[in-house]
Amino acid sequence: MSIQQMKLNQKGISVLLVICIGMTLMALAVILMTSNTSNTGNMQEAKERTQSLFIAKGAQQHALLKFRLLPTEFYDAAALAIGKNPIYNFSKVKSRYENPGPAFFTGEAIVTNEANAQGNGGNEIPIFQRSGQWWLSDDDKKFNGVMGEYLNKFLEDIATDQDDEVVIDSAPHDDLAMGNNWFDPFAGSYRVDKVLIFGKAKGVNYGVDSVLVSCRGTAKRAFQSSLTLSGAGNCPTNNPQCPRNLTRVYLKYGVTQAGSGFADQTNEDFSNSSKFEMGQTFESELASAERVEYVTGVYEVSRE
Amino acid sequence: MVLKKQKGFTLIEILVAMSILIVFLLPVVSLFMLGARGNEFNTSWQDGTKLAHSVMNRLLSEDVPFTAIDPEGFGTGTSAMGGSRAQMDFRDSFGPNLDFSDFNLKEILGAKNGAYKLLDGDRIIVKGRRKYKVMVWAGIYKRRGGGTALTRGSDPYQSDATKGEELTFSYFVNPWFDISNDCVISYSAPCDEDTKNRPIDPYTQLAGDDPGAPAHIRNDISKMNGSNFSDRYRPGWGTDIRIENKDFHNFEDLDEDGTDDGAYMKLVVGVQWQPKGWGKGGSGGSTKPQEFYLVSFKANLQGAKR
Repeated sequence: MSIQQMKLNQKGISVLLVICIGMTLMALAVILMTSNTSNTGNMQEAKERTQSLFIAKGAQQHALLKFRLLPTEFYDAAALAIGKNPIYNFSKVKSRYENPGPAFFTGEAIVTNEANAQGNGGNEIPIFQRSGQWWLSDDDKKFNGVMGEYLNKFLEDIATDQDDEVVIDSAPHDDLAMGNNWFDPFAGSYRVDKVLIFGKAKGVNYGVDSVLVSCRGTAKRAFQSSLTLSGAGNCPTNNPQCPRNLTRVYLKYGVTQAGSGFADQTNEDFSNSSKFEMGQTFESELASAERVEYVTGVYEVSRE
Repeated sequence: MVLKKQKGFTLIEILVAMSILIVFLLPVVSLFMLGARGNEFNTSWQDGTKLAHSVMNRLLSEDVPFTAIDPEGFGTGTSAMGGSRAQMDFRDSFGPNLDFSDFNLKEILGAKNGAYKLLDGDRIIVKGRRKYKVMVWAGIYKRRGGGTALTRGSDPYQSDATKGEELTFSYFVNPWFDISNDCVISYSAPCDEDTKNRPIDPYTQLAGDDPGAPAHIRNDISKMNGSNFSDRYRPGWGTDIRIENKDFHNFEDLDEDGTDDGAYMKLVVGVQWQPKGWGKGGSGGSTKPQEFYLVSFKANLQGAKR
């Protein structure tokens, strides 16, 4: 058989075609499966992000409610934090003791002659260095400076877990809003994270200021539970009422790794043994896993 | 010119090709089915998450008046396991002045012409041919203790509010100082800050509680919460604490029945559904309905205006 004849020989071409088609279909199916696996992870992340976001939105509502109920107190606290005297009376003569201001001399004091200052009834006016940052530092989340205490006090209870008043807890508890023996579908928390006081007219306008308030919401991954379905044994360990455990472990872990309460999600057949890296630390890692979201707004505060 | 002879496929060739095709197609089809199932699962979750997001967003919006939410008004829905709490519903009116009948609020939870679509007593919204049960629980922060509402006393600031028993809002009242008893004015060494009727004086508190600072410019605000807290009274104000630490409880009687209606509410939205093709069999927990929950809070930011 010549080469020309071999080229023209079409015997077995159908088998070749079938193999090609089959391989293509297989490749498509694998791509589809991989894409789904990736989407599942993203979806779970999106779920937790949404949970955190709405807790942060709740914090914003809490803050706005306090601003509505106590507008003057908020304005005063914000003014004091940046050294303004919120009760300065512009229609009266400025007096050190009766009508001090309009700005307080907060900051570091430098007394050039202390004896003179003390001996003459403190008549020497020290030199003041206005310093300090009047926003929440990363370290202590408090306003720095003496007069910042007023704003710290105002902001500190716009938060969960203050005297057990507002609580988001998936363990059964007596909830001020929902009643006794209530449990939330997951645990979380919120607080005011940052306040920036912009002031108005470079801070010299009195009676009104602009502030930026950023609220932080956190949702925990562990102990997510159904409010209506029983866990039939697969329940979160923090809840004796045994609701269905909704914490997702993405089928990555075997029963041994996930611990109790995940038997309905974990499946050794589906588990990828290469992803057992969390091993014995699984439960502690899960307990600390949480997602954080922020909601920020700019508001006008004024004395009323 | 003689045309080349084209032989057709032989029966054996076709049989071999079909056998190979079947061998390939069987796993491919099962992979596609798995993929489609996974795709349905993911799509159902995306729709469920979006639905819960949308419902909660609308409940938090100012278009839904705080008082239009009846915390346990939907008796037929599934109760929460914790405390057997019933679900919320929308009111048409609240008290003599608040009318929400034309607000069409039930549409948020899937109602058409004012009537909900129900499945097993729960409200449903159909999306992507899937039926999503939408469950909402709400509770208002009011004074506890036998369910008795806090009644307004003579103090409009409700300074008798009890921390931990009702929602309180704390603040320090403005600083003040006693001119006649101030270390700066009547300075005589040693000026005992702890016993002196020295108030928090923002004008002179320059060095904070720096113990190295001159006494007359030192003003230790931390003593508000310290051991000297109870010793610091306003002169002539009896036992009133000098640095007033107020715990304010809001009292809002919008329906004019003499009781507190509260101004802050916890909201829990739950969405429950069965992805198509996941109803029977399946692996892991797939035979059970999927669930997604959101928790948030709504405040009455409008007061009695609506």
